[in-house]
This record gives sequence, structure tokens and C-alpha cells, in this order.
Amino acid sequence: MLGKLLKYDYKANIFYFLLMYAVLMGAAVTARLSIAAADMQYFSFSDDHVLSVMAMVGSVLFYFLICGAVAVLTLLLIAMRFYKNLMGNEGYLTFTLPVPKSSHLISKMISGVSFVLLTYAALVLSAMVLTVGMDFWDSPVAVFSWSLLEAVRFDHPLIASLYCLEGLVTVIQVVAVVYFSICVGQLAGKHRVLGAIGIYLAVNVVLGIVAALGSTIFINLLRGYEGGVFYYGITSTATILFHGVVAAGCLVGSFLLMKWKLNLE
Amino acid sequence: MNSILECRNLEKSYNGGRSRALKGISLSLGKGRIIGLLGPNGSGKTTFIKLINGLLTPDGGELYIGGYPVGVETKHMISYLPEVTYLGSSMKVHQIISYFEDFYSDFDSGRAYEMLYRLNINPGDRLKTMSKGTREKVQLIMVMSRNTSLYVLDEPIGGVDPAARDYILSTIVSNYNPEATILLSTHLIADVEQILDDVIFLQEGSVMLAEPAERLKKEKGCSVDAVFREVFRC
Repeated sequence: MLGKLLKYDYKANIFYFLLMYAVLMGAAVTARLSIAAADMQYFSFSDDHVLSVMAMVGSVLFYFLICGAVAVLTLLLIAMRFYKNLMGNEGYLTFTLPVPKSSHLISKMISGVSFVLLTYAALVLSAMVLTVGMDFWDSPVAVFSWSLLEAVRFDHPLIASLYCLEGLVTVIQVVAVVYFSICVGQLAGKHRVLGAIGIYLAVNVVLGIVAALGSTIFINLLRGYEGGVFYYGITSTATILFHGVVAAGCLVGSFLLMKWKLNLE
Repeated sequence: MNSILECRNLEKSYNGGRSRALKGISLSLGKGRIIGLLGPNGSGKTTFIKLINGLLTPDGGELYIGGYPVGVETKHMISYLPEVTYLGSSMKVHQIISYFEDFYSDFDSGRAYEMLYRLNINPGDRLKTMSKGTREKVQLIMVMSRNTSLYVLDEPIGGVDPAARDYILSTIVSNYNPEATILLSTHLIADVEQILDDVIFLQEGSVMLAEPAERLKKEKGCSVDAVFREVFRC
């Protein structure tokens, strides 16, 4: 039954995500072409060169705007799917399917996380499209970025693996917080959407404060070990545990709210 | 076991206990009966129906369907038509049929297509392009195309025209399994009473009356609708 739930969760949103990614790729291609056009006219010193530079700047800015919009819309789409399918009128059908309530949550988590990861992949791919054929990797930006990654020991295989795991657990936590906020928000009756947004903001503020405090304490505890593999390994592990505990707490909370406090009005 | 549903001292409150929707009701619904769940607004009908379907958790008492507590097993046994449009509005009718086929092994798609054909409803149409009455008919067709033990219909004829009401009632009667039970909640008693075997009157979370419709009519010498108006006179 979980497979069937997943099938319909993917089907519900895949069109919108593919459309978003198409717009993103289109923006990347347009920006790349405008960069190429500006490059070609670099030595012409004509009025056209000024226009082509303006077009390049405009299209690159537009590309970055689209990147931001895609990131926001990704979370919005998975939140809307969760809300409509479980807490809206469709909930009368979803929750009466012969399926455990936990399966609904698991299905939404898997589909939500996979759409977020898909969006990450699309953003990386669009960045590669934007920089194709350029000497980007020898540019000062790329060299500086790589030196930053080396500074945090991303060149070490174990640390790189921990960072990847940290990224995955963070994505799971982000999605879990969205779902938890919607589950709490539905207790607010007529103001369930506002309630969900309020809870989401509050949870993120609290998490931000806890993370900042935790980081300060941790950094002090690890004084003297900065820069080493041990330091970044421990900090990354601690971050993974923090996000993991938050995600688990949100998922358990969501499940209990769905089980005991479901409010389909 | 001759009853499909049994509840004992079933309680449900809202707002931290300040509003008692069900005050310890005890009922037994027989198999193969068409039962009218009748009562004014706020009497607890929808709360009771939601409890049966696992959409709410009781605060007290017991509720068994087919001998099982409410859960995944009982959801196999119940075909539920809520008061709201619960199908995805962007879905096409044939997609909805596939959805029901996927999740319910007892769903008869042939019956569903036949009923759609008789009503001139195009399976390729999206729900959002249909009128309210047609959407309700589609929902009813999905529900009645299942071969289950208990059909729970919450206000199946509210908000539709009289001709559609007649069709819906005839669909209910002609398409359900005679060994199954139908629990039908409605305000439009005059329209449904001719098909009811039993009636249950709910008021303010308590059962006022639960008996066969014919016996009630003989005792009171009038229709169920007239008895309802008398019992729940404002």
C-alpha cells in the first residue's frame, strides 16, 4: 500500500516540478547564451557591447531569481500536497483508505524529501549549464570556493561523507518541520493555514537559537582542535544528531497529532 | 454475530471537554438493514460517523465494526460517503476509478462505469468541470461500487435537486449488497423514510430512539418525518 500512496503523491506534483525545472533550465540556457554573446562582443567596443552586457547581467540576475523561486516553490508544493491530501477535504478519503496512518506520513516524507533532493540536483545541473564552456573552474570564485571547502576538510573522504549525510538529514528535518507545523496548525480550526505558518516560523526561530547556543558551546569545548579532521568530524556528527533528533521529534509529533487530534473540518 | 456495528458508552468531546458531542451512546446496527441516523444540527450524527471511520478518536467507550476495533481492518469493511467533496477536483473520473481499484480490492469498476454510462457522465471529464450535483453522483457511484459490509452515507441527498435525490436513493437501494448495512444520515427524512428499515434519533449527543421504522410508524400512527418533527420541535 505504501507504494500506491507514493505513486499518487508523485503523480500529484510531478507536473509542477517538471515545469519549474524546465523554466530553471531555460533561464540557465538564456543566461549562458547572453554571457557568450557579451563575451563575443568584448573587444568590439561598440554600443552593442553595452547592450549585450546589460542583457547578460539581467539574464544572470533573472537566473538567480528563478533559483530562489524554485527553492521556495519546492517547499510550498510539498506543503500544499500534505495539507490538501491529509488536512483538507481530501483527508476524508485519504484517512479512510485501509492503510495505517503511519504509512501516509512515511509516503509524504519520502516524496517530499525526494522532491527537495531533485530540486537540489536541478539547481546544480542548471549551474553547470550556466558555466559550460567557461574557464569557471580556474576562475577566482571557483578557486576561493574550493579553498574554503578544503579548509573545512571536505577533501577528506570521511568528512565529505559526513557532510553529505548532514545535508540529507537536514533536508529530512526541513520537510519534517513543515509537516509538523501543518499538523499543529490544523488544531487552530478556521485559522489553520495561519496557524501552520506561525508554528513553522516559531519552530525555526527556536531551532536557530538552539543551534546557535549549541554551536557556541561546542566550539568552546573543542578549543585547540580547530582545523583538524577530528574537529570537523565531531561538529558534523553533532549537527547530524541535532537535525536527526529534531526530525524524529517532528515526525513522532505529526503522527500523534494525526492519530489523536485529527480535525477535518 | 448479527450486528455489523456495536458501540457501548461511546463518548466524544471537543474544546477540552467543554462541548460533549456524544454522551455515552450505546447502539447495535444489524446486518442487512438500511438505517436512518436522524437528528437536528449538532446532535452528534457526523461525530458518530467520523468515529466509525476512524477520523476521530473517542474519549471513552468502545466501538467495534465486524468485531474489530476501528482500524485498518474496519476500513476494508466500510464504504464512506462524507458530506464534502473528498475527491481531488483535478482528477478525471477514470483516474478516480483507478484510485479506488488500487486501494480497495472489493471495488467493482465495471459497475462504476455502468452507472456513469447510465448517467451520461464522461469518464474523461475532470471533477472540477462538473456541477455540484454531478460531483456528488460520481462520489456516490464510487462508494456504491464497492462490495462491503457497511455503507456509511453522510447527507447523501443534501444540496441536490429532487430529481437527483430520487436517482441517488434508487442507486443506493439497487446497488448495495442486501447482506450489507447502510447507515444513512440526513435531514431530509420525508425523502428517505420509504427505504429505511430502522431509525435512530440523536439529540445533543444522546440516543432518543432506536427502533424499526415500521414499528415506529404503527406506534405513532404517522410518518417518521412527522415523529421527527414532533420529537425535535423547537
